[in-house]
Amino acid sequence: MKKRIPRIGIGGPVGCGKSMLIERVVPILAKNGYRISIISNDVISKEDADRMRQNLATNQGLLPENLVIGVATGGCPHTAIREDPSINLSVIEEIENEHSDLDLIIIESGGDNITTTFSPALADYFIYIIDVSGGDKYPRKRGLGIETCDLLVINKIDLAPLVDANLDIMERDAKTVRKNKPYVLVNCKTDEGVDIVARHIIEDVLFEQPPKKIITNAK
Amino acid sequence: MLIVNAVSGNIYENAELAKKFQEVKQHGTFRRLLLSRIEMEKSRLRKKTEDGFDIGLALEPGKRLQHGDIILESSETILIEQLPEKTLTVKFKDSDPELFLLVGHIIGNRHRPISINNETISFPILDDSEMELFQRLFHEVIDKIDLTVDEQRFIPHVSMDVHEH
Repeated sequence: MKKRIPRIGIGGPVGCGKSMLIERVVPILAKNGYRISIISNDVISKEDADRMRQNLATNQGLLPENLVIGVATGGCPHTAIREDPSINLSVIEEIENEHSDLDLIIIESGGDNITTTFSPALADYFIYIIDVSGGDKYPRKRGLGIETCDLLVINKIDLAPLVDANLDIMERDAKTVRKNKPYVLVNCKTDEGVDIVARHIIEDVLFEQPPKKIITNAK
Repeated sequence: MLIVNAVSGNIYENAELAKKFQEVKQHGTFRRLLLSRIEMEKSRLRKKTEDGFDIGLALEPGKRLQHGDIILESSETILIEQLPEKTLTVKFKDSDPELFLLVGHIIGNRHRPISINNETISFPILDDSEMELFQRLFHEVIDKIDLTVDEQRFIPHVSMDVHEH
């Protein structure tokens, strides 16, 4: 039986910091020895994938360039992660066939606001990210993404005073609507809180297992 | 943490397993793993049982847990129970294909999974307030249907399944 590589879906509105979160989390995971591939969904462009490839692969050498893959969905990206994730599944199938020694696949996608979710066939763990510039009402607006994701990330907390957002209210509402499910306040510009996101990934998705051994064909 | 790669069977489908479970139950030596419908659909999940025992599920791709599944591993017996959730059920007063299509179309536009039972169609909602939303959406046919909200273990119709190859 082919081993399924654990997969995380990261979703959230345009501009909330999905790619930035990946660019901050991947170095922590790589430092722990985990090998990762990234799939970035967008409607037409592959700009986010190009940026992450340049930063994480070309500049930092944390993963091979060909393991940062851009997918142009041609339509609302949320359909390609939930209703019909076949395009993403086909990319993952290729990755699993050719790179079975990877520890993790990260799938990033924008979505239709607070109702974004990932098909469980596509992602084992769903991180939904919002940012404070949308106002402190955001968590209590609820919606499938905010309520049912495995980890809610509230980004750009440094902007709170500039947009009159009260972080205490955001925390209170996040606790209420998510019951016992976790949330994290982060600032991807300074890495504040990013280590907590990485820890959730290592504990909840990778089950604190050590990185896989590298498979080589050398004899 | 106990890592689990497979379930042993289901007590509602396997009489032998049900009997074995009853024996274990009499001694009170089993643990309950309570999961939401969304968690039931995952093949990889870390979760604690009701009494705090740490479990990492890493099931084969495409495997979907069912209410009543049993894990027998390392002298542990773990019963999987699906948590009930708020569900809206539409009961048709008329047997009218046009009515069925219209209601199906409206629900589908909200991207809801559905369950079809005894000529009713059900789907999960997040809050009681959604009743008002759907009363408005169904206003053209509201006299031809009954709407009720209850808490149930919602099992989606298989048409919602997405398969891996």
